[in-house]
Amino acid sequence: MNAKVATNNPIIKFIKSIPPVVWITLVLISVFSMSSDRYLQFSNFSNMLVQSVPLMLVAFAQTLIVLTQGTDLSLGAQVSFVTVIWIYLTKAGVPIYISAIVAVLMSMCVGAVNGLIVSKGKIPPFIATLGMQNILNSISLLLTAGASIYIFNPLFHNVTQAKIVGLPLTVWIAALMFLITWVVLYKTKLGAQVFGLGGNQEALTLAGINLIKPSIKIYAFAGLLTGVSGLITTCRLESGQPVVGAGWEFEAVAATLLGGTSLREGKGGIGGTVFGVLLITILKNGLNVSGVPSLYQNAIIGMIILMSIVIDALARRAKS
Amino acid sequence: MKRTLTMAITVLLVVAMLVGCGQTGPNVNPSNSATPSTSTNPSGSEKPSANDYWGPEPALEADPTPVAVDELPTTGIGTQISTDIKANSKYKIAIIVKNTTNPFLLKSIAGTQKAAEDMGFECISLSPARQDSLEDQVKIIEDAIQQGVDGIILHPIDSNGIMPAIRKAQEANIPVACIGTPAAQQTFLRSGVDYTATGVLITHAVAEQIGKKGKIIILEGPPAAQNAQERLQGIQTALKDYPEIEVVASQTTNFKRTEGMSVTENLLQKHRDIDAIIACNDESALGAIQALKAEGLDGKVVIGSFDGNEDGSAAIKNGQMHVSYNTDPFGSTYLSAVYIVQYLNDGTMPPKYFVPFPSELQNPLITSDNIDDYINNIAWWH
Amino acid sequence: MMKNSIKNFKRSQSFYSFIGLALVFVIASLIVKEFLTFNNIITVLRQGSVLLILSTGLTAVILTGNMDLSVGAASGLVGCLCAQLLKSGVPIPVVFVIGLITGAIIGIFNGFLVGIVKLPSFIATYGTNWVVAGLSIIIMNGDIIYGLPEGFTWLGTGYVGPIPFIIIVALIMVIVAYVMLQKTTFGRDIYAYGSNKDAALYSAVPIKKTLFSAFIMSGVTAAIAGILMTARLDAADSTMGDAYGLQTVAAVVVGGTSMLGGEGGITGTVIGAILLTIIVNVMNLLGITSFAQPMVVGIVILVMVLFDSYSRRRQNTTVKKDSKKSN
Repeated sequence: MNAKVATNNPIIKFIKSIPPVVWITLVLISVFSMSSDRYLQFSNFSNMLVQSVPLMLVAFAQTLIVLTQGTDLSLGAQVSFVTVIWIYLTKAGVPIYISAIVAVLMSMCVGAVNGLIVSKGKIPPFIATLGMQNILNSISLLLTAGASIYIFNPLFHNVTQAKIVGLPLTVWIAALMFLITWVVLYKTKLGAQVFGLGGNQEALTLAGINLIKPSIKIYAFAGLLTGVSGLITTCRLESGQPVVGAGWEFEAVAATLLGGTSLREGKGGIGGTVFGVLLITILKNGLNVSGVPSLYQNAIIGMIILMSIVIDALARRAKS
Repeated sequence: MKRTLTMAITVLLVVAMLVGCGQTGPNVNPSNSATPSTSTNPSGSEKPSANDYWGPEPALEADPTPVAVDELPTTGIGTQISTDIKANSKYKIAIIVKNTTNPFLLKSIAGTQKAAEDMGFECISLSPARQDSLEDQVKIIEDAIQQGVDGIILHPIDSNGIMPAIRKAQEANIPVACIGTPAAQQTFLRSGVDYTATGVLITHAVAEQIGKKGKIIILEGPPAAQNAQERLQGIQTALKDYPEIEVVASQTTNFKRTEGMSVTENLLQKHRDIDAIIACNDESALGAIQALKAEGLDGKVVIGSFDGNEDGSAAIKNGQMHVSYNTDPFGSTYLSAVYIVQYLNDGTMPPKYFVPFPSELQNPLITSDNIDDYINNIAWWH
Repeated sequence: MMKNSIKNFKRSQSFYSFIGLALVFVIASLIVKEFLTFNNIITVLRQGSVLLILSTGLTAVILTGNMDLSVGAASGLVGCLCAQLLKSGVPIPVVFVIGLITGAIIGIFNGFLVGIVKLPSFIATYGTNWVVAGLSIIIMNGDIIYGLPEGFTWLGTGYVGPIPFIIIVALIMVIVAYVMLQKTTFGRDIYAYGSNKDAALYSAVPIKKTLFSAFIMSGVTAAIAGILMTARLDAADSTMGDAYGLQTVAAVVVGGTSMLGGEGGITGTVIGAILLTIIVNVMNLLGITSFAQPMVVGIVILVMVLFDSYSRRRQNTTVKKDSKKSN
């Protein structure tokens, strides 16, 4: 049912999926703009947009998984893994573009394995991906002997500095990935299966639909997104970082829920997730810019995010 | 099939974008920016660029010899540190740390705040919301540049990973002073202790105490933390001088007291006859002491550690710990702030890139001999 | 009677966890000669105590089909709070009461978010985790407190005969939790709620009360764990509970409690918590590099859960009649 609506009226679906998060974001922006006269400059927003890209891609991945009623705790570890693999292979003499592709493919393989364990092994995604997170962390640490690894290549600097029509390249890549995710989610059979998996798995099983293949594909696609996020992170940090992604998976879940995707019913979409990520980025940036003592920031961020999710949930219930 | 195709196309597209960039983009090489043509300074005087020490050579190869105590612009160390220098105008200087849970880093913030009071500049303290997150720290530096700060004092989470953000600060001609772990390439200033050197010193002190032979355990820091790796490197280097010392175990405790305790408990099951433990920070050493106490071995094992924090000092005073290294975050940050203010005032550069503080000229080893003086006069945690 | 209970155990989810534990135990004794000594076993149990106590409360929450990601941070907050209070001279019993109440409040807060606001427990408790961890940072003001009163630290370091007191506390907690979950109406409600929420609604299970009780139980056990952790360390720092969050979930799930709720129990949780503690102990004794340790833990989690899932499915197909697996 959901899937049908989604495929028939993507625009309405998209508009409907714009949640209160947008309003909360606007309120935050206006509050922060009062604290600093430099806040409302274009460069600050462009700065924040660039900063939000890596988490954005991970959040797209998490949204897909959440729509299937799962959570992928290995996404952050996948990002670290990709940064390490890319630099490691390049250091070992593999041409930098080839190693980039290999790194993304490996991340997709990791996703596929996740999908296989979840669907074939019938293990809750939470615990299966927790195991995978541990394994990936070890691999990244073993490959780098614990420290970051580094090569010099102008490519990294060029990627982060390049601009197309006034906006940084990385933002365009995020836009492209958004488009692809959107197409996959709303225009393909796989997308319909995503909503199906989240909606009523028993019905799908009874209808004789094999859940294994779609699961593997969805998790692999999530691996693709984190892979690209890993590449961009590598460019931003110009190095392979074995623990850089730690905790991103949870921020991605928060962003997904802020964006109005429901953990229970397989409803929602990636449109809202964009705003969820922006809200988190704006919040972190704003607290720093407005000079809130760093000691209090953790609690404040947690509180605002939790409150936003509560408001969102209440608003949704009032609607229905 | 369609999905597979989509995915393949995506990968190709992204890589194509990257390729395009690699070929057509401006070929910026960091070593070229050693002579920045764009960095004209705002006041228009003959002020040198803040990047004067900026060069392709790795920061770790910088000359670690200390600057003579009477050549420093400050007097005293720890919370006693002071200076005569005043800021010419209300500069905005940011102190950027790794987290807000480590007393060491909070005292570093306190040092900057004291400096701000003494010299008259505005101090802003920033910390990643997600503890020890490099990605967040990079964002914070970008935000600080955006805010238009005049100088940055930084505890980098990772040498290599922080470089792109450092380079942005250099482009904006903002002096960056790194405390402890340096950025991979030289910046305006590096201060704090030389972790590798401290590892060597502590190891020698412990080795002397156990008669240059015996069995020891090393408690490592977090696997991916650079300061931990450097200390470990120092320890291992120094141990080469003592062929009769055997390292029976070397395990991580993540700088945490809980893990220092449980790892030591586990290792004591196998190695009850150890002579010494070298822990990569005071917290893990204190955990180890708790474990030794439970086994009735406290006081029988020589403990060497780093930081000289409050609890660690107490352990040295009551004989549970043999030696620690005063890493003085308060003083080293204060000193960095003074150098930055000097530069902002009239363009005076620090005497050299790496000014170790406290250096070996300042009695940084804390043992039972000087513990009272340390606690009463020197300690950074008051 | 005896035969029957063995048969029951063989069918229960903890059976495979038990086999796993036995296997690890035997292998460990064979490859590490120091493993099977009285001292080392006591060490393992002492280290496992905090995890075990945390896991008992979480088991109740997971049995309802929910999740509590805040237990680690909650134990940290209570530990920090108690240390601060003790430092400022508040008597020990009062500190205990305040600690336990704090734990209960965190539980009520979670219960409110999940039961009343109807947020998914996973995200609600993660939010709580974030806020609570932030509060610990504020309470500690970045300091590390040490040198607590001896009467307090005895809880964590004292002995009764040859047995550390902390192990006895853990044992009592396990027994209490076992009785509560298996022998009381509260326990029956939790199982009923977890196995089928709609059915529970019709069979007059007080849904909200059950949910709140489960979260409060989790909060209170987290508080006890936090107090003991602080006592054992003779110190408190704001991050000390962080590592326990996901570890506790792993212990409960490795012990065969289903994340969908309704299946499993304390027996399995004990096995899971001890299993995870033994693995780390053995890796320390073997001197396995710290880089590889997470991988071993990850593989153990995956293997145990795969076995568990396999056994559950086999059971569902072969013994369909006997589908009450709540023991």
